[in-house]
Amino acid sequence: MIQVNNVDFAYKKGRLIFENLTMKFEPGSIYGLLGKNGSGKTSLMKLISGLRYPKTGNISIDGIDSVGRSPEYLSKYFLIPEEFDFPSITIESFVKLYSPFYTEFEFSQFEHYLSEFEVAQNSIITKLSLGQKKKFLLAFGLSCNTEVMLMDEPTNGLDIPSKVQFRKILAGLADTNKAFIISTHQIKDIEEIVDHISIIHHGQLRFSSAIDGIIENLVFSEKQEHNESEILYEEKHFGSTRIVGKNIDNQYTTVDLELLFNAVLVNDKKIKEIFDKNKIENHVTV
Amino acid sequence: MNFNSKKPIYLQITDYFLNSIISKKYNIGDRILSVRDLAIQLGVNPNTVMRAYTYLQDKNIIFNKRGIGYFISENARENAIDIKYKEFTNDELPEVFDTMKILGISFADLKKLYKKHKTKKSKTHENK
Repeated sequence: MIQVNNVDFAYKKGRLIFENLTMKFEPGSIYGLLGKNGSGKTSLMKLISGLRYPKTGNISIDGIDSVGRSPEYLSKYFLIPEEFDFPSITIESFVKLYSPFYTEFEFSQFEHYLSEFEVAQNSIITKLSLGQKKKFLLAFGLSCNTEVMLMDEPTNGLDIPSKVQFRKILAGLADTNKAFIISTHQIKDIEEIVDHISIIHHGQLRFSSAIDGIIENLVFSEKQEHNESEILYEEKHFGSTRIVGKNIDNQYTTVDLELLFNAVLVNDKKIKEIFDKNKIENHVTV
Repeated sequence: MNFNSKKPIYLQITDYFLNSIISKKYNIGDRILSVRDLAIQLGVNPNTVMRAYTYLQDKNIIFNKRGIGYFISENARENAIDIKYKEFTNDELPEVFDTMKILGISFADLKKLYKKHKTKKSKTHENK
């Protein structure tokens, strides 16, 4: 489990990116981490991976603190950054050099992903296109089978078939003892594969829930169909108004992540109240 | 399967099974894909498939043989029809009635439209 405890963070003398941020990521889930540009998604990835240290507070994976970047800590996760530099060597040499750091690395798995992504193993990495580099890195990272997989905009640069392939690979890897964290703006690319949504805004965790919980608590629909439900947020589209409402009569609708995101930015307190209230009520009935 | 309807994905998955059972694509005792295999095939989260399977188990549509897999239950077809019948009468039909009212369509009109639909269908069948 990743535990982020009361973290303050800023780059040098800049403004605070995070102020007293507390959140956790548990194994068994694929997290979608959403936030506007500059909200701190990438900073959070850097903090969890120990590339940056918190000013105050601490971050740990399975109880091991990120500070110190112990080999044990570093072998627990793999980070797919949004931007990357590679040495000018072949994929084969790269794998020989870097795979020994990951005890669960499976070469056959790596070969399989690489062929599914249609990237040749004898390619020199720096000569690949951006999309192909991304595919190689995803294939390598996912074959390391680390407990924690951090992915910053993993679908950027991927072509359409590869995005589908990516989701299928994740579906096959999802496991009760692994946590996947996907930070992205490409909501459509991940909405079917994530089972938990976390939204950060202005340095704070504004929303965090399993998809199941969102379905139980909220409805996403056209306005005219939901006069009775308590409307939390609405958005005018051509010819219709889409709403996020409180789910009062067990209406299960598909989660519209874009709408949810906008609703949280506008009305996160009200949404939190609904989730908290239901939690209490559920406890009483249990 | 296309995920664009308003139902959550897990209910779209259960719909797929209910419809396949009603149309006899799946029959009693048939083994269905494992949670993981269906998740991979659809590119969706395995927990979503698990939720669909739990729902189908609760409704006696499928059952789980521990360590072997999921199978179509004995009364699956009756139960599936029952669920879809309720859904049709509770959700879809009222919408049709509302639209009829708005557009001023009478039951006599509806009957005519139904007959037209039937002859069209039997014609396309002949052509096949």
